[in-house]
Amino acid sequence: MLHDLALTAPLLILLFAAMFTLVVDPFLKADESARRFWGWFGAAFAGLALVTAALLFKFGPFEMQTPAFAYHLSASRYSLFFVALISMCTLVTHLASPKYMVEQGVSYGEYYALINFAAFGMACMVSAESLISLFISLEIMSMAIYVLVAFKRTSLASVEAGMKYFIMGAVGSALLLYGMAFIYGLSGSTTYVEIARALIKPQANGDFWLGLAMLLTGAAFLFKVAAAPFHMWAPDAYEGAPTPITGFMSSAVKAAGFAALLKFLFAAMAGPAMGELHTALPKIIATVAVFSMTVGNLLALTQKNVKRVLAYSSVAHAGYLLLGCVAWIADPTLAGYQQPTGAVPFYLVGYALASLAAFAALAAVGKNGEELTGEAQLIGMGRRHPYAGAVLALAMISLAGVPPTLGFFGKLQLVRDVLGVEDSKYLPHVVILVLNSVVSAYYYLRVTVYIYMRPEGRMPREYVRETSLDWAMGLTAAGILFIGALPGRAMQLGQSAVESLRTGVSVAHLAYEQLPLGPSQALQVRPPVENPAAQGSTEGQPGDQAAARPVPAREPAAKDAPAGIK
Amino acid sequence: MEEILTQTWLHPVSHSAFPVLTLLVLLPTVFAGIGLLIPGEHQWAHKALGFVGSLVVLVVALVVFGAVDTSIAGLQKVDDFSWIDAINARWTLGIDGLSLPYVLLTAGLVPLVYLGAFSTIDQRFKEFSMAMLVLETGMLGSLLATDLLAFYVFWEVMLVPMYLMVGIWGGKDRIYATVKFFIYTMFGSLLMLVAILYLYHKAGGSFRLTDLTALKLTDKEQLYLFGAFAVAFLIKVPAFPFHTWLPDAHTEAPTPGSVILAGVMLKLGIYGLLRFAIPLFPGAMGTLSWLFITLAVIGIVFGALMAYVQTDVKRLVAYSSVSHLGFVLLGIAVFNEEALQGAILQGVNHGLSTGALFFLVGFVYERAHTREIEDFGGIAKKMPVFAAFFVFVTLSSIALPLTNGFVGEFLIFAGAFKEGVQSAIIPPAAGGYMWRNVVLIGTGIGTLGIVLGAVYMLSVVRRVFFGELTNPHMQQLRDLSGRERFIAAVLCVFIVWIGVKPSGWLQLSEATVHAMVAPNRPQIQQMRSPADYQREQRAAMRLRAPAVEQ
Repeated sequence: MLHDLALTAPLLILLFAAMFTLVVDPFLKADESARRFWGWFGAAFAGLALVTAALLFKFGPFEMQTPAFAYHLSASRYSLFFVALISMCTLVTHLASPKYMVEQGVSYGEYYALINFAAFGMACMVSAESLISLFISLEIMSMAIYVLVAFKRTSLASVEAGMKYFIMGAVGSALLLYGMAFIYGLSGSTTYVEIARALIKPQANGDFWLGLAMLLTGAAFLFKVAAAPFHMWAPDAYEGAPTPITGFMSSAVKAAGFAALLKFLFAAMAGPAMGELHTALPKIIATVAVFSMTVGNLLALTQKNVKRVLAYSSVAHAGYLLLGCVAWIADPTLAGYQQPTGAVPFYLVGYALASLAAFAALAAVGKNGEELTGEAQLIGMGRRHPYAGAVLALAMISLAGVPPTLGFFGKLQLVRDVLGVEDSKYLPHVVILVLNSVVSAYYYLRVTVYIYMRPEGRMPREYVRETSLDWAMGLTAAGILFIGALPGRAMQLGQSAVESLRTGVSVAHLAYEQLPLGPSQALQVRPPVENPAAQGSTEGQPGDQAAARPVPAREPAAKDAPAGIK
Repeated sequence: MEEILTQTWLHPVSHSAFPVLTLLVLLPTVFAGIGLLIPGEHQWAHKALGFVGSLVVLVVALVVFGAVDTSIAGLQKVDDFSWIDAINARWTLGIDGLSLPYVLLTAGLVPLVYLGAFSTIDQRFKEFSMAMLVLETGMLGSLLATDLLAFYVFWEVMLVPMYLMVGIWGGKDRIYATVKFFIYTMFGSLLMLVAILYLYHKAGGSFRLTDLTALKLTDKEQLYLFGAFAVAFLIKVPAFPFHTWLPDAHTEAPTPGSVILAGVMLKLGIYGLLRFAIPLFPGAMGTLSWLFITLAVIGIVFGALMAYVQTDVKRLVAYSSVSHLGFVLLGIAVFNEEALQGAILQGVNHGLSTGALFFLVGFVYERAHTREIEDFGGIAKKMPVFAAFFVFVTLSSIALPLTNGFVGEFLIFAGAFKEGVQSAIIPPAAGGYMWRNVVLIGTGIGTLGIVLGAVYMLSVVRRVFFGELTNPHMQQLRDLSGRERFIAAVLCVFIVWIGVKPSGWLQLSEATVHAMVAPNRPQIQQMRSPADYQREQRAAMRLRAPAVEQ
């Protein structure tokens, strides 16, 4: 038990921060300083979670996937990388929030608790090792985000956005659950390892049912990461949500969605059992990617509100990232590309920093219940708010992918990895990506034009600097520039994260193969191959296993499943 | 030719104990960082910092110049550090005879630009100064980097400062012009990035130029990849039909932006072709030589004609750039030693004379607040010194002997005619005289461009400076101040120096050009005209044969 708790320490820190805020807030005076306190408090705990995750990443024995809580969660370099990224996003969101919420007149303590709950949900999501924990953590995250989107309860747009997001999100969750049901039906299990093993054997009509399951779960994931054609909710939700929350959604939620999607594909669905589907999957994802980036960029061109522009741009970035995923899953043998490809995690870091910076800067200029996010309202921002204006412009340049910002190196590594697949098979997709970048440069530049190049305009001058907000902007801008100048270390971290998922999956499969017992007993091996001799010893204690977990129910389910579906 | 000749001129020949090139590249950014800490109200501090900073960079560049041995080819003073290990990108800087003239031109122009900007840039000098210094890092880095990723990063680093410079301090249509500039350039360079990454994978994960030139590529691959590189560089040059961003950007840019754009950034297109595109894909360059010559000649004539019909002096100078860079492109397409020497020198010349023209147009615009030719007339009476400088630079621009323009253009045409005539005197093989015809006809029309240049430049001189002074607003014009005279005089000194005694300047790049032609020309020649190539080979055999017998 202690082992499990130690492995999930960053998650628990986030959860504790959420609970503590919720419990203590009613006893504090409801004034501005209390809200400021919760902002700093949340940021401090997110920072603590970040440091803990980083320490575990560096010193933890994570050459393989280390399971916790009976294979429902795990700690690996992969999950810890994303936990750290999510904690970073949470930290910045906390710092960016107090001033904005006070200006908008909706400053309540629950807001900070909800951010922490969402962060906890996401951290669980990237650590999930089974369909059950995946779904529960996804719902923890989503519920918190629904409320946060609608948190500006005095604003009709915010409430409408929350409602839309909730209804569409519920449909997405339903799709996911339905797809999971099929997967359970086919494999008789909910843990990734067992699913992968069970899917090795070809089954009658297996391709069809698997395809259906993939379609449903895939749609749900695409929905969560706001990829076209499941992006309809994004512009409204992004526009209506409080600005720091928009930043949180486009950074942390997107990162968590991609991390969970890739883990799901890699650990559960990428086994050799996928048959034809497996060779088709990269092509399907590549097509969706190209569609998403094109739709996102073209629609972003027509928008007049920066939040909506960034919403469509996030659809486009989801497309870029999906193409990055192709490089990752294109190889069914898991041997993969000779150099491990850390493009997706690294790109997510760059994208998260840039969008957090952009939304923090936008949060800085809102005033008296009014948001100044229309493009024309930004005229003169470079003069009236030089700091926020510079940060916003830098974020735009990074999103456009112009060197020497971090955004460029993310795109560089992504293109590099996609081109590296099987003799540049995806060259046409890459060319489309590049042309899309040119299109996107136009609307990112348009924002900088409004900030700097229009004659002095309407943006009001009154501007109270808030320390926490300045920190939020400064940290993200420094990240964009410094990681941009020396991206090597961050790229390596991303690569070792991916490496860890790869080896983790294959080690888990290996451990599984060496066991003479049925699949369920494999669950009790912990840690899997840290000590090969230990595997023998688990065999000798069947009583313990039975006590630890009610397994027998699984076996019949696995056998019944195909029949049940027919 | 089966084996690929080694591009020995791209290999390092000397390393530097002290990373002087890294210092040279990063120094402007360091000054920009210092400037960031000084509040914008202290304009004088930013002026002093920028000017002194750029002078320090010039001193370092001169030290490098002193340390480089121009009698040998190959990269010197090489700095080679690991940069991004994860993707095997390295920080590799080196200097040789090809980059040296442009490094000196860049480092020399920036202090002058600062001097000019003291009066031109009257608001937000801090931001201007920082943009200019970062831009200088980008330009110097592009000229020195030999790792393709580092080169690409520097190449793009130039983009944002120039975008801001045109967009913030530019004229009436600055936003349209600057966005067009940015999108055009980015389009070209992103295609180049894909090509770079394709090569990277082919080479098993390396961005090092020498690794990539050693690759064996099929003709089709060469053609596509060369296309991607060439489009990026031709947009920058800019060659017809990729030139349309240039008149807008030039016209709308503030004087310092125009000077840097014309003086240095356009040359980077030329430099990129010679340093990267041609050594990487000599065969494709050969296949497309006819197209390059065609585009160059269209550029020369079209640019000249467009310049002639302009009513805005600055726009006229901008179109004259299209025309002048056509000559340079012609020299590159011909690719023999004389033409290349001329092309490299003409790049520098264009930087000096067009830079000077933009300065002078800027000076008069600050006084008269107009650039329309119709508004002027007879201002030589009020501004005699200005008129003298302008006429002098005009003569350089139309390549009068004893000015720098003559030397460069003469060498280009000498090389081109040599190419055509040489092909002609060797008896024809199967395939006829296709290449010879292209060269001779192209060069012939190109020569016409010199005459056209004289037409538009001299007519603008006549209309602006001579005749009756009719416009009452022009009565109050002051002549150039001491600072302005200094700027113009420095540029004129170099114009005369190169014109009267070009040997020292040509010597800078001589060894490098010689070594550049050796591996590349045979492959180019083979592809652009197989018949001519065979003929050349036979002639060479015949020349060599008696020597062997003896």
